[in-house]
Amino acid sequence: MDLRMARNKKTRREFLRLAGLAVSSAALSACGGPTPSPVVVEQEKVVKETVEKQVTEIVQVVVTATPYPVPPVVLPVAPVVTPAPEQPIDIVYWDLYSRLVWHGQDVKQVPVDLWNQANPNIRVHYLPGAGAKEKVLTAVASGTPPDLLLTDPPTEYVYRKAVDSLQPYLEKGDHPYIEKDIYPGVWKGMAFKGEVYAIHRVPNNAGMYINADLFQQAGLDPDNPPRTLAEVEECAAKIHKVDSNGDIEILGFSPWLNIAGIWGTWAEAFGAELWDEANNRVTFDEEKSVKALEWQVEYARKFGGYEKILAFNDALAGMDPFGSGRVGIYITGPWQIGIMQDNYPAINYRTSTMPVPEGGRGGSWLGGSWMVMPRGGKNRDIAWEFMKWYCGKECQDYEGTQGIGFTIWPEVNEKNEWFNTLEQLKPFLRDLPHCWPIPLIPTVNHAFFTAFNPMVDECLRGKRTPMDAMREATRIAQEEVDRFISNL
Amino acid sequence: MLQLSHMERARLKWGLIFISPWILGFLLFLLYPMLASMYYSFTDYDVLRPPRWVGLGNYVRFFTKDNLAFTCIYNTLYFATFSVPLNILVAVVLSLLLNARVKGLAVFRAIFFIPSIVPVVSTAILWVWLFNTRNGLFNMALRAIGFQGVGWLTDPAWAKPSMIIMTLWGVGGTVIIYLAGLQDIPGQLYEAATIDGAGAWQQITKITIPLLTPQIFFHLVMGVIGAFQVFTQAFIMGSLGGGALGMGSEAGPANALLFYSFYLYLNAFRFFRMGYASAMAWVLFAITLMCTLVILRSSRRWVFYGGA
Repeated sequence: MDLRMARNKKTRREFLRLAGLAVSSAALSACGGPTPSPVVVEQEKVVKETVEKQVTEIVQVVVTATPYPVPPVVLPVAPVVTPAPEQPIDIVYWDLYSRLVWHGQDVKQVPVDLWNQANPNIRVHYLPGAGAKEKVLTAVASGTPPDLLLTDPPTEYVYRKAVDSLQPYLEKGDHPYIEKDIYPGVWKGMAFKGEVYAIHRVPNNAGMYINADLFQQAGLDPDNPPRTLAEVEECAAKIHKVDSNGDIEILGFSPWLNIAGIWGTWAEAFGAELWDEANNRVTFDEEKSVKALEWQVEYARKFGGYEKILAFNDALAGMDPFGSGRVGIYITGPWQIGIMQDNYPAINYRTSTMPVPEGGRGGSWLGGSWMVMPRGGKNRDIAWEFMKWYCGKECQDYEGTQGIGFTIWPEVNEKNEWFNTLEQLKPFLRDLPHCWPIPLIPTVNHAFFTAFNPMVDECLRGKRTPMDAMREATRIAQEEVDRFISNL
Repeated sequence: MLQLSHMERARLKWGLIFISPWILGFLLFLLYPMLASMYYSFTDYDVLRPPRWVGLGNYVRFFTKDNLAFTCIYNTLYFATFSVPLNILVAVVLSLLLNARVKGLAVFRAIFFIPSIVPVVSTAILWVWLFNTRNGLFNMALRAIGFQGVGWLTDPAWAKPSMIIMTLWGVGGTVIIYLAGLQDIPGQLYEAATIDGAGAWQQITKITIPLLTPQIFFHLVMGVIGAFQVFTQAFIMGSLGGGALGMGSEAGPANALLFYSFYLYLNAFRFFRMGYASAMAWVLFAITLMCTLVILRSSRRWVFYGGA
């Protein structure tokens, strides 16, 4: 999820968007916020020029769009490690993902720079995009791993002992990584059989985006969004439009668009666990999982068939589905707010919590990134000092605020005025306590890629019944788990 | 043992020194990895932990237990069976046309050659647009003449044919080889045939095609090897085509674009099954070798060298 957007040329629309941003940021700073960043100053200048010329259109933008203002910048304060090492020490930090720059803040780099200023003899080198699995595998195997790695869910690394336990450091105390203070779903994804191996940084979750204009055109109230899956279906039916060829013109809702269908979202929303950790059993075929698939089959049937819904996605040809303005209800993470702000400022939308199936639990799986210590890294103690701070409350608060995410501590999020005043963000924050980690199956990629997803796909194409599909998915995934466990 | 004179020994020494970069490269970066992968194919190995000997386990597992093994072999064979002959046919026809003495020939040749130098990723992305269900050029053309249009990359039945059609984009590279072959055919053969009363079609089938068989043979061998290794286009088109469900969508709708090399890559780097992937690589090598040998053997019957 790369939110970086180049802005070398400013079109009229860009000016208007910046104007909207700056109006909001100016209002915020007038309420006693911190000193505006250079970006805000630049945007205020832009708004003054634009207001004189385009007053009526600015009003229109502010009224119809829901701009995301520039957040206040509160930089974390880097600690000074004492005693400082006599000789300079280099800490290499690889990131699986790319840089994240939004509102002029290079959010993962800035804390590194602050640390390096405070600790000239402990130089941290941040390498975005360097942490691809192929590279990490060979680096660890050859004994030359980075000191720190920021990656996706670390389950497979942990089970393969490619990363070291952080438990010895946690047992020394003086850190904020305490189970009772952290969201339960987040903790579950960090601690494996009682030992912490990773620190989750800036978690995010999925939520529901609603196109307010499409809602109004269908006679629905966008300020009263659907709460249950049944209500989602009702709203979708009123919004959904097909053309004379039977192709979808306006999509009410799709359970498979963007991140909606991945990692067993619906099975888990219906209350399935998918993995029994105590007995090392894959449980894709549990009753609630089958029920979720039955619901998907029925949904596809009601809305013209699975292939038609997929073809709608194809027809968008890489364009952001919600940004196209042709999707009524859309499931994705909070980063979509940035995408809408940067690319589709004229679309009038609302956000809401994930729809809850009848008798299900709602919520979604947790995204974000996890910091780990690859096996065989040098300078571990010093690396921990940096990691402890970099994954700590201040840094996560800074990055979450700037980059649209949250911290792993409910207490910190509750205190963050920014999170709690922005209408777009509130639903995501409200749903965080109900979210869960991606199933902690030791062979999770294999389980979903070769078993769960293909079987769901076959079922939705009418080649298998839901029960048959989930039984087969369980069989395939379990076989690989058994093979893996037997080699431990 | 071969007796060498002092001069010959000196020449051999210098010869070996001069080719030593290649020898070292071959030993370190080709022979050693090949032997290592042969060894790993008999082990359960995830790179991170020491390999565990499983004998023929990986091979047996691939042929008897892997639910996607048949899919990836079928997809790859399908692709090779249709894409290679189609490419040869189109390349030969184009080269015949581009060999005609018409005005602006160099321009035409350049036009057909340019697409082959476009990077494969850019080509794949471009073709995703062309194949777009609603706004793609192909479906728009089909609709204009009264057809419904097809789900090029969203329908499992059409995903592979779409890929095969796309490979024609790069045909310009082989057209150059055929053009060279055509210009190598002695003009007096055509003159003699004309005097004997042979028509254009007879000249093509009795002179041109037989004397182009060395180039066709080369194209066939390289095409088959390339087709068995197809990866990038499928990877890009599968993931951008939007025809499948969430994660793993790179394999296209209903795994229709799950080609052998891609599944091998997934096993190695996404599922951490390096031993299994090594076994798959050797199976692929065996299949490719077998096909190449069959083509080589058969070549004695249908390849004609001008000088022979």
